Amino acid sequence: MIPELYFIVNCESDSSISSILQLREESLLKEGDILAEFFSQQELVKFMGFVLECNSHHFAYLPEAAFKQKETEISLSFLALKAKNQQGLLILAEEKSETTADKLCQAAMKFNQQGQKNLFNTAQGLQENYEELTAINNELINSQRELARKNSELARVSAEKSRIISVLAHDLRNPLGGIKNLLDLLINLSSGKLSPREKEILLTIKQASTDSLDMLEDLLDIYRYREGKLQLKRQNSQLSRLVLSLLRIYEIMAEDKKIKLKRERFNLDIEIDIDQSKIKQVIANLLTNAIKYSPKGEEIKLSLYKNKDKVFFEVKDNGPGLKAEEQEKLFNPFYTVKSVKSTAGEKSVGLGLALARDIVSAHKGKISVESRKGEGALFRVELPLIP
Amino acid sequence: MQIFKFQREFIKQLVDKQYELQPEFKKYGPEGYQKSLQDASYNLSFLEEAATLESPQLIIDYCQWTGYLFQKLGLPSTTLVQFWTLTLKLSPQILSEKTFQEIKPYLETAIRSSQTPVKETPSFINKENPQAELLEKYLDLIIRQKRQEASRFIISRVEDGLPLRELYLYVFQPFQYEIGRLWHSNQITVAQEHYATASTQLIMSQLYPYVFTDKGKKYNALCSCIQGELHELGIRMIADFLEVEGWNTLYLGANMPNRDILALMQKNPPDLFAVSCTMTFHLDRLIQLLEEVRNKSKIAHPPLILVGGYPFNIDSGLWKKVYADGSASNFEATLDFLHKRGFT
Repeated sequence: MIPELYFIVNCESDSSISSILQLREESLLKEGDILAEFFSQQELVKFMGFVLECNSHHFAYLPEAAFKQKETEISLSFLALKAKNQQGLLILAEEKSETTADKLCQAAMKFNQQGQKNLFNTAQGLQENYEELTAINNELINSQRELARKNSELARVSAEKSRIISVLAHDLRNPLGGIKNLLDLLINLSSGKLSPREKEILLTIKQASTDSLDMLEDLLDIYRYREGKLQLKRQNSQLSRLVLSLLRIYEIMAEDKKIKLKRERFNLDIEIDIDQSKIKQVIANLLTNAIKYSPKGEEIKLSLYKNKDKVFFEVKDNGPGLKAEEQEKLFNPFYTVKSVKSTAGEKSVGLGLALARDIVSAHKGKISVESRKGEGALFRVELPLIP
Repeated sequence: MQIFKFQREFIKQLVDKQYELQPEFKKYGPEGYQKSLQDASYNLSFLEEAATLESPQLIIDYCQWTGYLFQKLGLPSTTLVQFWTLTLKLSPQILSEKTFQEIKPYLETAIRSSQTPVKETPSFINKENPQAELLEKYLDLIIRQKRQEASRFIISRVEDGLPLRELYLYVFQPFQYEIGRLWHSNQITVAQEHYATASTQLIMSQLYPYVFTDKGKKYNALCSCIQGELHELGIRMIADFLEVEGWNTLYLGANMPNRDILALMQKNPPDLFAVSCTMTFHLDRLIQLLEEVRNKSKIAHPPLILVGGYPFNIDSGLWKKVYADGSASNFEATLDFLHKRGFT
């Protein structure tokens, strides 16, 4: 059975009614009445305690108090609510019934149980997250350790590979040198006795052995650099003179393809401590590549300049250019760009730029490339003026 | 034996009684009350482990340690004595006569130890340390929260030839102890302590290229913390150190469930199982695990078991009571232990 509602009112903290929201009968209360005056002295203590409770805790329940109505008293239950930051209270009074207290009690218990359940679930969830995080952390540490282990294995395998290659290159160099020398002797001794075809074959063999020897030298140099066994023989040098001496040779090579080597920004007065023969290798390599990949009749631009503490040498060609991913690998040994073909069938084994990078690094400098597919390439060597 | 575990009502009763006798605690409010409950629970866990393992040393050290902490936190000097006295008085309510008699001597020891004046813990940076200068600089950088600089500093020293063994033994290990001491004496916060530990962990990872070398590996070691244990740095140092010494290590990390450790051990039986337990109240799990490894698991040849962690440093004979073959507090001791058992 639903208990009968007597009133719902807004009142001040001293229980004076500021507004009436609902009344069972009109004569019961009016605005300005003080609720406290509707209780006997004995009941008043209970009621004011209830008001005080609501003022401090925003909620109060008074299961039973005798409310004076005209000449009689009726037993009512009271519920009070107070909004945060508000002065007034909302008081609800209804006919006292056993069910009111029971219902409230049950609701409170349910609320409490639910709260406990929620708290338990949250704690359990946190515990699970915590376990998971610890497990993830362990996994991360393990992966890190595993990577370090693999890295060490790779370094060992790589060192072994380098050793085999350098031994092989070293052992091949002597017989190849012998073949080349013997061919020279044979060509000289048989001068005039060979048919043009025979002579051409011998010269091709000689060229092939020279190329192979050069390749082996480059390979050996790379591994000498990597193992720190190659010492630079630095000397004070006029860099422009070095470049110009090379240009004379490469201009002849370029002429075959009607390519012009054009000096753009060219500082003739740059003195620097370098290993001349090694830096010559770098410049020669850049010039060879530029000629190799430039189409007939194009221009190759060369620059040599310095700033306060660095020297720059640049070679800009109008060749096919390089993709970004190709540029990243360009300086790795044995990397050849598959998408780019030399314009006159010149060969490449992918050692020149790797060696160039090692030589420049040994001079504490930097070699880089700027390029876009189809727009040529700019190779730049930076060398510190003070090593 | 499980004496006080899950006795929440009893713990609450103890704390309430202590609040009645020492009303000054009320000034710490509800948060202080919660901490008191937590502390009471810790106190009883340590008492329980000491009694279970028949190790008075564990409770003596705990009382000294906690007494020092309370003193530095400005808590009344009688706090711990009062707590143990109340426990002695109220325990018969919840314990059988037999259990009470078993625990009583440890409670009396706890009362006596808590009455002993606390001693100042000396700094772990001393002049006898051959790397004292390095240690001081590292500590200074970390306290000033210059982690990157500290990392560069340490790595450069290793690059210059400082052996990892010296770095771990004379820098990282005393550094962690010193950080613990500074927290214990209320000179640094928990956040600073965690920052310091995380810095050492980070630098240890950055040193992996020096740890994992292609040196031939003769033996296998499984290194782990016990379930629930979060203090993983010590056992990680041991794992790294073993790796440097030519062992192939599998490092499982913090809070590793017993079942997972056993499963791994059955799959790939190691030559050595190095396990760490820092918090005394995790010792029961360690006993469970090692008993399982020794007697109940399907591991045909149980590995050599080495335990380490704070309780084993306090009670040098404790390892015998947890089914281990020995304990070690640092790498030198680990190496010595392994050599004596033929792992050279």
